[in-house]
Amino acid sequence: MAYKPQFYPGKTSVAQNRKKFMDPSYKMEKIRSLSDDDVVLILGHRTPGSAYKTCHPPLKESGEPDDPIRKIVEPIPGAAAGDRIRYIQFTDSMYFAPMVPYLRSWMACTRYRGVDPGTLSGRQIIETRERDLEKIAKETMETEMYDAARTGYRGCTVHGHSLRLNENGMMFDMLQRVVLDKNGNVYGVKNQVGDPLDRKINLGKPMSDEELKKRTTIYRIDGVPFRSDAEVVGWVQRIHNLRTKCGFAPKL
Amino acid sequence: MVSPVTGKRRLLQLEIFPDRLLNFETAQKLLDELNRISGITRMVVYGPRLPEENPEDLLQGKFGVREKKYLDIMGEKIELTTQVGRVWIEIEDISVKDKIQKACEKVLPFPFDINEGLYLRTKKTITDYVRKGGNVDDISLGLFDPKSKGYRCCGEGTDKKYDKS
Repeated sequence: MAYKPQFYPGKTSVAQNRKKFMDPSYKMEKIRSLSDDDVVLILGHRTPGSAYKTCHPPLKESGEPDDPIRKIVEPIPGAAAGDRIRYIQFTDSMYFAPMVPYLRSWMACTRYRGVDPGTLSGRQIIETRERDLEKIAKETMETEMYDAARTGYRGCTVHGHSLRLNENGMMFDMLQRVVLDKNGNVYGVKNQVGDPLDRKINLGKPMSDEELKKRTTIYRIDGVPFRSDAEVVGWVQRIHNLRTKCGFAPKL
Repeated sequence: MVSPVTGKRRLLQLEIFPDRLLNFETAQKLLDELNRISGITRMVVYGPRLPEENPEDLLQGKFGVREKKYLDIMGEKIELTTQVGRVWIEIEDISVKDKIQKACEKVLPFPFDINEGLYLRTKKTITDYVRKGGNVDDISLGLFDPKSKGYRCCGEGTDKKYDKS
């Protein structure tokens, strides 16, 4: 029987959400539409419509030495074209954000090729070739992985993940890259490093608290507590146990 | 409450901890209510730095417009530079706590906690001597940020004249 990855243990809604985000066969639910130019503006790496800058010639022209691995591994489009490596960074509020930084990294590893995810306590960065990054950013921001209020695109000044929310339900952002309008929609007014945009980008309405609690991948004592999922606790303890023991005595 | 060590009268301290970070209008309403309560000796508002641009301006494409916001505290205008997340209050008597509780219930549209503890310094530290030569009075003690360049204290008896550096 062929091995079928389980991706994440557990039966609670949080575990199931984590599982589906990491499973590349699961198609994410699209909840907003962004144009390609919107994504390019948010990223702030190049002007919309301009050519991709390169850091090396296309692989076909570079005359690389013969190598069996190169025959097995097909380069991603950005690498084949010689694009620069760029990044997008997200901050997830601890108040029931749909994603959690570690899961973003696991998701990047299971869903995409040629990416370099980096995780910190409240934020997560994905680095890859520019044209691939734009595809990943678009997919991330259009789907249920992104909430207009509890998730933020933040290249710098990321503080906000562990802060209480503003009165209007938005995550604290010192640079105010996204703003809640009176009509209930959230608009992106600055790019990810806080530079003003020529036009505002509609990111749609924030999810309600009930919806967020249904979709969240964060264990919380006032939502789905971590200890309520015995299977997850068992596996976390097992991994912790093995890592600790092997750290002290490699023979074990 | 008398300190068992020094024999001096020690005042009680409370912390108002709302579920959300307060916006300017709510913070002003809360302070207005608190100003009406007698028995409060000192008060500090604490939180992350306040974003300077107005969201309405940003939506209209006006960037870099920075309007200073002033709180009205007992008739004195004081610049608000923090998004209020906690309010530390020193009170003379525990009975004032009930009044503060009622004021918060009246103003805050979301849940909040009122905690008892020690939030403001009660003794001069070496920093006070280094920065101000020990010229910090009992009222100003712990009310200002030693690293802050601007003046952020108000009220009678505060050492404004030493705080211009």
